[in-house]
Amino acid sequence: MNRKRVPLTLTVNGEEVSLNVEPRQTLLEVLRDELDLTGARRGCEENFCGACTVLLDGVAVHSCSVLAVQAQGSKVTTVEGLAADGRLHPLQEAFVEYGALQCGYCTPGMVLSALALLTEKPRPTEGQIREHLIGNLCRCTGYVKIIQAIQAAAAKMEGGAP
Amino acid sequence: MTEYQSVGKSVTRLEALDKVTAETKYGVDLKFPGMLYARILRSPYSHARIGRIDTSGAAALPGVRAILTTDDSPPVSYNAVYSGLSDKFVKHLVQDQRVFDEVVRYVGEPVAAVAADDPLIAERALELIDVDYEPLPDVFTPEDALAPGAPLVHDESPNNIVGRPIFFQMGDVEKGLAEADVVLQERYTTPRHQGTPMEPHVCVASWDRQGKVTIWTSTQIPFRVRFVLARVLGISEGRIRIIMPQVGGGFGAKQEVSIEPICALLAKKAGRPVKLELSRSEEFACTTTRHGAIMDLRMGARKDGTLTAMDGRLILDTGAYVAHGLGVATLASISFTGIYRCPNLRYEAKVVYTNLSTSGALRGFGQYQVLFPVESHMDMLAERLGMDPLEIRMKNHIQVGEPDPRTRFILESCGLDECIEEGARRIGWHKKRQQRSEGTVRRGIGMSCIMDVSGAKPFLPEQSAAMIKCNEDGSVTLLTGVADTGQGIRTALAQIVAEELGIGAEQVHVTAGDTEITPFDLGNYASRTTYVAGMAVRKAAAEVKSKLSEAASEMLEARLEDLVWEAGRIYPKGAPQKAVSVPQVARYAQHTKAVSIMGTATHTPPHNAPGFQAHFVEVEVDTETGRVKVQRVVAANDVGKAINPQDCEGQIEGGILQGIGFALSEDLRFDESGHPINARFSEYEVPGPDWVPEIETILVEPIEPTGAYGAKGIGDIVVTSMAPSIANAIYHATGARVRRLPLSPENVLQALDESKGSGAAG
Repeated sequence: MNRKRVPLTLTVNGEEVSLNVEPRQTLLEVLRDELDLTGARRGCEENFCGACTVLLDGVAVHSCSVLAVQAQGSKVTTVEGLAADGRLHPLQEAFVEYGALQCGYCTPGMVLSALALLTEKPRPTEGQIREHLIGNLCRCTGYVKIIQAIQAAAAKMEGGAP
Repeated sequence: MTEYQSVGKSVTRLEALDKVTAETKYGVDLKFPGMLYARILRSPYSHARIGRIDTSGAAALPGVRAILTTDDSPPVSYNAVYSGLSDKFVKHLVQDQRVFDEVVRYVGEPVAAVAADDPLIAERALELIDVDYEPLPDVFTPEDALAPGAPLVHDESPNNIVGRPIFFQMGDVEKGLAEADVVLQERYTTPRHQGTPMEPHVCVASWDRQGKVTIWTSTQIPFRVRFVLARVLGISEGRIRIIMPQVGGGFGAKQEVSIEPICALLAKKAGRPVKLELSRSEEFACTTTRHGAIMDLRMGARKDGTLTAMDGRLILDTGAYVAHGLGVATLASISFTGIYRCPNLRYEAKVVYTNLSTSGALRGFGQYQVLFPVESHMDMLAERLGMDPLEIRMKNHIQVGEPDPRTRFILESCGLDECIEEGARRIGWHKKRQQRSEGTVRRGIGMSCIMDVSGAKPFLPEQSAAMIKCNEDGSVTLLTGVADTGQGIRTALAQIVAEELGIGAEQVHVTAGDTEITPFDLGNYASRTTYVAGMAVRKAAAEVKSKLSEAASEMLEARLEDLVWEAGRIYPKGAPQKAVSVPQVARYAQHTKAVSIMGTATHTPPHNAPGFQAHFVEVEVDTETGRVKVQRVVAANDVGKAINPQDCEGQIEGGILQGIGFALSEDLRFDESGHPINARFSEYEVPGPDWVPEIETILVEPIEPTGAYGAKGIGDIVVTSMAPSIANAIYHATGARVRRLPLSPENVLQALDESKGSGAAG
């Protein structure tokens, strides 16, 4: 088996990172196994469930379906990069306040997916939130409080995403 | 209604901040020095004898550290759920599983396993293992398995029936049916569902040099895993430590011993920690599903609506191994016989082997398979009698003071009437029932009543124990064996302790689910944790309170009987200005009085305090495509007392969505060689955010006297109502009665055709 590694440089949560990765490794694997960022998680093998969602140059992507080498030179944001100076992002605060998480496994992906939406549409309608979240499965909450939390965070963030 | 300072408040989950920042670690995040990664080689055949296994190629691969095959399997047959339970509870223990058997009985059954330096090497090693299979005749449906001359899945079980059918009888059903003015007989089928928790199964095992193994596993049942594993591994419980990391959902999928034996045996052989994770396809195809079921139901009623007879014959497809099968068959009889008053009852359940993956626990455990038929039947009986569906249910359902026919437990709380009345009012039931829509897209409204237990008494040794110790700052540490798989039990228990002691819930530090540290609890299932562990925790807190009182009486130089507790402050009656706080007393006790204040309790509940619900749905049915959309749900739940209302709502909302998935689309299907066809999210459709209807929840609190602050369970019941409510609404909308789940476009269209053919009103 060819396990040769190639160099990769990218920015993760605002910090430039240089490491050597196998060309076959996904961004998800590199984030988890090489950089110890455990917020992005595996939930399926078919680019479907969204537990692996991260922001790649601001766009929500399923990191299980991005090869790490494809992220060369890009900016990656994981949930670990959200709480600035130890203060929660308004989305995170809203998820906590509204009970929008139960087991928590899908939560980082949900929060990042919501962040991508609010960056593009600061006051989305409920329908737009639902449609945007297709691609992030949750089996615990029934999505109800997730949608409420996103609406509340949007209202709080009015005036531009931090 | 008493107002409390912590109980009844929507206190933020204790672990929410950690979860929302990914501080929380799940099993898959665990890393240990020298840890190896495991993969399982699985049978491609549905039924085969294993011959020669050649592992030489795999063993030669650099980085492979241990390989297991049938040769390494402990020569012990076990039941992944019930091995180790006393024969008081498990009268017919069927132990039919081995870690690696010489005969495999379903596609995906483990044949070998490898531990290697990284997952890629482990996967490559599997490809290098050579197995000789001798295929055997197979059988894939219970009907085929029961037919004379069918291939046997287990030689010990003639006709492929596990043990003996579960049977219960009261009165005389034939007489009851003869006395009825209306008799209805139908067959209903429910499919295999997969719980699909977002976190797949994962396990890490590590042995010390004294022969003790520690296993971190994503499980709902740490103590039950421990005593089953004791039998499988041939070591005693004290030498096995099961630790739950945060678990990413269970729903029943993690309610038996599954990958722990293979993981532990690999770790032993390799002499290093081993991590074993399942892929999502393994989750779908090789972990447990709900038992597919066929129910033949006869019910009779008088003109005035009283039920005279209920006769249910249930066939459960348990797959290749029985595991939970007899338990599901037994517990299903509780709601079947218990929800409605009926003098003549007959219940018979056969648990049948097939060469498909093992069925197991799933939210709604047995109640699901019997209440879809019963609640469909109740609507049809009501129609024949010219009664409103609400009326027939209110007339017949069990009331406080009445005994459950099966268990003889007397019902002590029931809020079902209030659930029905309030739910009906909020959805506009009576007006909408009169409305008939026209055209290709029809609207309809339907409902169902569900009863489900809080705990599995008398069928299991129901119990929970708790230990609490005071810290000098007046906070307490609660040790509880409960399994928090995301439902929020740790927070609810903290609230109960907080209430008892007059401190804040955030002052209760909870450690849960570690068999070494926390006292015994049976686990997270049968909606038992708030009801059973809640009481254990309350009792332990009461002991802490009385010891704090002793210390306070010394501090205040007052008599114990003169002390008043008020909002976390203690003072002698009539002298509130002398009040001391719990932190002050705790510090005094530890550092001045020189005693440690602790409380312990073990609790066995007196019965199983059933919860009740009435869920109403409005649906839209496209009669051309058969597609059903749930527009609105009003969900009324009798929870006894909502310890944390926000978490109760979360359970209801989550259960409704999962229930809609189970009702409308979820159906794990297999092809003619026993391979699962739709073992992936893209083909086994679970609800996404675009499925969410308008949901209104109503919490009804009749106060259960045997639950902590009146609380009962809620976790299972919430998924069971959607199938019958939606089916009843489809009937209201179209006149088509669907008796085969899921209520897929295909099944709805077929029912529509049948209803046209029979001339039923459309």
